[in-house]
Amino acid sequence: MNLIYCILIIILNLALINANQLSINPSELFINGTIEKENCNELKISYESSGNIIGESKWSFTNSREIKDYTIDSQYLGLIEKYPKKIYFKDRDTKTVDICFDGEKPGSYNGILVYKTESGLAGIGIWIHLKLENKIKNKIFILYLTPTLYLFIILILLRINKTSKNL
Amino acid sequence: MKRVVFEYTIVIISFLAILGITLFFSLNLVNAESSSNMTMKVKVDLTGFNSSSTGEISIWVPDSIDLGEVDKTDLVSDEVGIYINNTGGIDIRVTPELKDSEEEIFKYLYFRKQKSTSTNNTDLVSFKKIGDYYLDIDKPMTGKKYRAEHAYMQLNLSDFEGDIKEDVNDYNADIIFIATAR
Repeated sequence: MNLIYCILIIILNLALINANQLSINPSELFINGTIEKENCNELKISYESSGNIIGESKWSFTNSREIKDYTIDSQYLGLIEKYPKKIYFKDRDTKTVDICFDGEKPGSYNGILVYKTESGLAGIGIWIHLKLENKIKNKIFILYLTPTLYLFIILILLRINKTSKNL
Repeated sequence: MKRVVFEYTIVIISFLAILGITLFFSLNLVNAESSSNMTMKVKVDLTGFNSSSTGEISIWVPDSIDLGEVDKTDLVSDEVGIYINNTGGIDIRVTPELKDSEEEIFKYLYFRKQKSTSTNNTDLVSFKKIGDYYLDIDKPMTGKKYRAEHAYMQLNLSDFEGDIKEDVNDYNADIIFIATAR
């Protein structure tokens, strides 16, 4: 009888230990990419209970480690975010999700993506270091276009010159 | 005179055109060189070299916290101890936050690390309001699955300027303990 009682206590304790445990890997995302393109990275999320996990991102002009400094919405910075805002977990489940960002302007962006349990008290914030560069294709296009444009202008000028001489 | 200016313009534009063509071909030559060598790009992700580790972040928090009773004559609740476990592989900072930022009563929640006044470290014993408080928890020691840290919390409505019209039993609000990499 005592043995059964002991086993019951151990099982109950284990259940309590895992009651509200949330895990995410990795703890920081370093995303380097180009503008006007989806730049993605993966997150592995584990939840030891059942329920929804809610995701939300905020941004800051400084590379701070304090959550209260992250108050800016992605729309304000012209960033388009694509990640699951609500994920349902069954008991002790692990899911891999894609976290993608796209932007209009090149630059370095500091953000935090917080996943909170809908019913519990646990939340995890993932630091985001997003670096967006101009499209290389644009640069190449300009380099290709420039000589052609100059040659076109020369031809027009020569044509005008010839016409004025004839007059 | 007009013609001289015109010819000079042509010379300048020709120079720019030659410059552009040179750039164009040099770019192509670089591309051609890299492709003619038949090189193969080797890729590798080098991680974990930043000052902060990017390993798994994981916490365990209690399901609920009961602060007891707050009376009109005694506007301060019990001081309740809470345990939070760092169950991941890196040092973390845990910041309590109200789920509803408009919540009127629970924004008067205060936290501190230690109850005792025996320590000289005033930072540990002085209360900080929710929003300004955080708790640092180191990663678990080798061979251990978690590291526990405790803090104390209290509801202090002394500065509350709102109006509570009637008694409410089990008034509650959601607090989220958000863990981030330190």
